[in-house]
Parts: sequence; structure tokens; C-alpha cells
Amino acid sequence: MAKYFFAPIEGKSSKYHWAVVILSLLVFSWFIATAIRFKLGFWITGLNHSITWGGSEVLFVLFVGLSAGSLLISALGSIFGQTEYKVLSRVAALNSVLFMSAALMMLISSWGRPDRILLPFYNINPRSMLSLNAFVYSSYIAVGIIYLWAQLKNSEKWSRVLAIAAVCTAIFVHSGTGFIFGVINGREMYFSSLTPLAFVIAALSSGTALAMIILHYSFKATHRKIDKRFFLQLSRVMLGLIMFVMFIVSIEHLIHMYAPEHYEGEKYVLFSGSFFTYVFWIQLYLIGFLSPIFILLYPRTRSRLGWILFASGLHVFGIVGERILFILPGQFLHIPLLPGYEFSSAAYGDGATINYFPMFTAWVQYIGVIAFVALAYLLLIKWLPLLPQEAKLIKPKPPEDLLIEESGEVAEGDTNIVAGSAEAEAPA
Amino acid sequence: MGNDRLDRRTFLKMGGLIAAAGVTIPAASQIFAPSGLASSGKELSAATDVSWTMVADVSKCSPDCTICEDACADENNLPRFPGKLSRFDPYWLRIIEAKKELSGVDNKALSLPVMCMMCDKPPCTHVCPTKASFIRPDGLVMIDEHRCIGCRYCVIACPYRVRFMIFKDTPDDQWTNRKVPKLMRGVASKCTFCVHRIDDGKLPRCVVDCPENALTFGDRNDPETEVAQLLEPGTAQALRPNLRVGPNVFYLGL
Ligand code: SF4
Repeated sequence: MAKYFFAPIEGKSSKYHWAVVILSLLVFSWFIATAIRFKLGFWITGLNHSITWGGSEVLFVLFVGLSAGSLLISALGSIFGQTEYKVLSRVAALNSVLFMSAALMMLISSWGRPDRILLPFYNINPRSMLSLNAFVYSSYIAVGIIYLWAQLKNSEKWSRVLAIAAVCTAIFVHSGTGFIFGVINGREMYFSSLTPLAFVIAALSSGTALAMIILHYSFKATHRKIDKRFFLQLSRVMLGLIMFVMFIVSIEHLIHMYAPEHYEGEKYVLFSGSFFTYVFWIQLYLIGFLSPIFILLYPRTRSRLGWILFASGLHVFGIVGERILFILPGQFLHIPLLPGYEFSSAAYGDGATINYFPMFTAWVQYIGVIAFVALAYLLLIKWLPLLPQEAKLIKPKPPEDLLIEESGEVAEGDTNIVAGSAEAEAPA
Repeated sequence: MGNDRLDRRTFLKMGGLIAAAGVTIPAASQIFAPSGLASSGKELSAATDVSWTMVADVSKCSPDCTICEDACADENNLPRFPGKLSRFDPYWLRIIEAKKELSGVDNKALSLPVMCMMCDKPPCTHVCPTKASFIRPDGLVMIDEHRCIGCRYCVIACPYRVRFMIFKDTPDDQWTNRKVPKLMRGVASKCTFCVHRIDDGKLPRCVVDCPENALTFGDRNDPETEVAQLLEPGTAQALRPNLRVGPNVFYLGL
């Protein structure tokens, strides 16, 4: 039986205080930007009549996805029998809740009328995925918070039950988010039954990648120790997920190329030399898929922590590209109102080149939401015993050839027992 | 706010019912007598039996004519912003130049007035998370702007790109027709077939103002109406019929 000791961080350094002050200011500017946007209208965001879903929606789907990976890590311990992961379960559950909250913050602050936030809860349209998602998203956050609470109370039974509930809700959340876009049949680029699946897998891969980065830097900054083998194992999981998501994205594009009504869109994204062509080939394929796959397969890099974290960063960046391709090109393509005809309109820009670049207010909102996640994380790990004093992998040991000692941190056997303010037990 | 919403929604729904009830009771056809629908023999038979339809004969539209576009803006208080801000002007009805993709032939460009198609199975109402987009009993697809949260889902889902976000408040001096509410920033909007005029027994303003009589409006379920007769030969075309959303705007002369 191994005991894990969780303790709040001290948070007394000047670095910590400066970080809290700066992040609070950024969150406050998000609030101001949202109020200005609400007061003046959409015209100060960079959106236009052609591009009505922009950067906010890209970040919304990105955050929803990132919350998935964290939950996966958190649930590994309770549900999938990987008891050694329980040591990371609290902090991963926290991240999952924070990213989902950030996603909703991003979405709601992008509405024209965020003051009507409660309307979707009592004017329910069962045919609308967005309407159903209002409940799914809020239940996800609620389940996540209770799950975290059960862990803080060291309730083994409830942690397990709630982990199962959280994973079930997560499946609805992530496929539901994919559905929002996949059901738009009036725009060929969106309409696809593979969208929800691609969304879920990319969510898991990028979420795992970011969770690894956050875990590493949290432990490093607080001078706590985390066993490198966690990263080795998670990187194997991530590798499989990256390959899977690359496979789905590839077949989706290939299948679309065969259908004349989709071909125009595919040509626009893949070969036209537009902004999206670069996003697809360089940001997504080269940086987001191929480079991390190479790093995680190549024997000299696959077991080195630095390289694993680098590969994770590349993959998250690549998935930002995937989310851009998910939201934007469908709006950049002109709607074929009457096939066989070329269209233009003097007043309304049909057939004209479409431009979109988020304006200053929008950037303040994006940065503010990211700052919210960081601020809430910093404050909560100071107030609650979420981070373990030391995270060690107890079982199973990975094959010897996978291990390359870097700093001598990898220790064998049971964990040390260190005094802490909270403790949890896990079968060793 | 709550009262506003109820009032407006009730008003819109009641409008449909009143329009229908008015013609079910023969004596009530008097209401429509002064102009438009009733005077041209386009009475309704029952609320749910109506199929409000617009037919545009594009062969009658002359190039560069924007009379219907301007009439729509005037009737519905659609703002026209100065300078660069004009890119945020909403166009409930817009003229599209369409040219056949025929290599080697410089064929004539057609002018198509494009407005809300008032689909029978509108994707916009399916996706709307708050039921702000709804279908009136007489089939008109409407937006309750007091219920809209401005999520833009319907704007993306509309297969005809005829829904618009209101990017900026309408200046007071452009609120010329006080019978129609001023557009509210941050919510979705679109052509209503001039629902306030239909409920008064009048034809939509674009139909009335077109000097070439290119636009015809009425209930196609009534074989006596002009729209029913125009549609009878089967040559009228809808836009994007393959989507099967049941558009109720048809084009002749394509
Ligand atoms: S923008 Fe308004 S009308 Fe359109 S889907 Fe959203 S809530 Fe409904």
C-alpha cells in the first residue's frame, strides 16, 4: 500500500505574486473587453457577415478538447485500474474543470447577448445540439467539481463512481461539440459524420499532451518530484492517439476529394495556397502530427523527457491548426446557391474574397480566458491540497530499454512517506 | 424584458393566427379589403393551409436595378452605415448577379433577388438553442429577437446565407418606419416577407415597389392566386433543391 501526500503549494515567492497580479489584470481586461463588445456590438471584433464564427469558436473547441485529456488522465486511476495514476488524479480533474469553464467563458463572451445566458436553460430546443449541450456542459462542470471534492475527501467509492460519471458525461460533451458542426448540412465543409469522432480523438491526444506539460512545470516550479515514467507511459498513449487522429483526418479529406460537391472545399484547403493550406500541411500535418510521431518513435528521443514535452507542445500547436480548419474554411467557401452559376453581389460580397482577422478586443478576450485558466490553477493549488508532494510510478515498470536515466530521479520501489496536509491511499 | 419578449412573441404568433382566422370567417375578409392580398383575391383558407410563396421572374429584372433592395431596407429600417462601416449593412433582400459557368461563351448575367426562403424544414430553427427562430402557424419562419442570444448558429446553418447578425445599433434617424421595431445589435435578423404588412392584408414591400412586376407573392395552396398559376407549368426553380429544406421562393427565367 502506498500513501500519497497532497499538500497545497506555499505560493509565497514574489514570482507567484507577480504571476497572480498580472493574470488578474488580464482576466479583468477580458471582462472589460466583453462589456465593450456587448455595448458596441460585433463590429469591433473583426467578424463580418461572411465570417460569423471566428477565433472565439476556435478557442472554444480547443478548450473543450483540452479538458478531455486531463479527464482521461484523472480517470485512468479510478476506472481503468491504473491505480498509480491516482497520484495525478486531483490535479488532472482540476484542469479538466478549468478548461471546460474556459471554453464556456469563451463561448458565452462571444455571444451577441451574453446577458441572456440563462435563456438556453428554459427555452430548450431538443433538436438543437447547442441547446442540449447547455445541459451537457454544465453537468460536466458540476460532475467534475463533485468528483474533485470526493477526491479531496479521500472517498474511494465516490471517486470511482464520479470518475465513471465524468467520463460518461465527457463522451457526450466531446461528441456533442463535434455534432454542433457536423450537422450543418448547408455547408459542405462542415457536414460530416466523422467530425464528432475526429473531435473526440483529437481532444484526447491534445488534452493528454497539454496535461503533461502542465504537470511537468507544476512539479518543477514547486520543487516537487514526479516520476519520469508517468511521462513515458502517457507519451505512448499520446502516440497512439496522434496516429489515430491523423488517420481519421486523412481519410476524411480523401473521401471528400471523391465527391464533386466537396472537392472545391478540399481543393481550397489543401492545394489553393491559401492561409488554410499552410495551416493544414505545416501546422497540422508537419508540426502537429509527423514531428511528434517521429519524436515519440525515434529511439534516441522517445524516452527523453525534454523531447516528450517538446513533442507534446508541437502536437497542441498542431491541434490549434486542426481547430482552425474545423471552424473557419467552411465559412470562407462561397455557398453554391445555384450550381453551375458564378455569383457576385455588389452590396453583400457574394463571390468576393473573404477576409478575417480578429481585432484588438477579440485578442484581449482570448488572452483573458487563457489567463483565467492559469490564475484559477495557481490559486486553487495554493488553497487546496491538489498537487502531490511527490509523484512516483509504482507499477508496472516499463521495459528496461525504454528507460534512460537523465537526472537520477527515477526511483524504484515504494514511495517515501512525507508529511502533508492530506493523504490518499492507493494499492501498490 | 420578460414582458417585451412575451409581447413580441405573442404578437408574432397572434399575427399568424389572426391573418388566418380573418379569412376563415368570410365577413372578416373585409379587413383585407383596402389593398394587397385580399383585394387581389388571395385570401387564406386556414392558418396551417397557407403556403406563402414568392416567385421572382428574373427575366424581368434589369441589370443594376436595386429598387427591391432599397424598398426592403426602407420598409424594415435596415441601417446603412457610412464609409467603411457599410460592410456591416444588413441586406434582408439582396440582388445577386449570376452568370452561367460556360467556357467560351460570354453569357448574360442574371439578376436574382435573394431573400429568406421561408423553408418548410428550416435548418435555422432546428439549430437555434433558444427557439428564438421559430415557425409561425402560417409557415413563416421568424426570429424573436428578444429571445436570441446572438450565438450565430443559425447564420452558419442557413444554406442560403440570408441570415444576418446585427453588428451595430441602427441610428435613431434611420428608424423611419415605426411600425417595424428598430434592429437590435447582437442578435440575428432576416427577411420576414414583411410579416407586418401580410398581417395587415398587404403585399410585401419589395413586391409592391418592383416596377417590372418581377416579384409575385401569395398563397400557392389557393389555385386562384397568381403564384399558383406561375408555378403550375413547373418551370420555376428553387435554389439548392437538393438540400430538400423546402424553400418557398422560386425563380422563373433561369
Ligand atoms: S443567433 Fe439567435 S436566432 Fe440564431 S440560432 Fe442563435 S439564438 Fe437562435
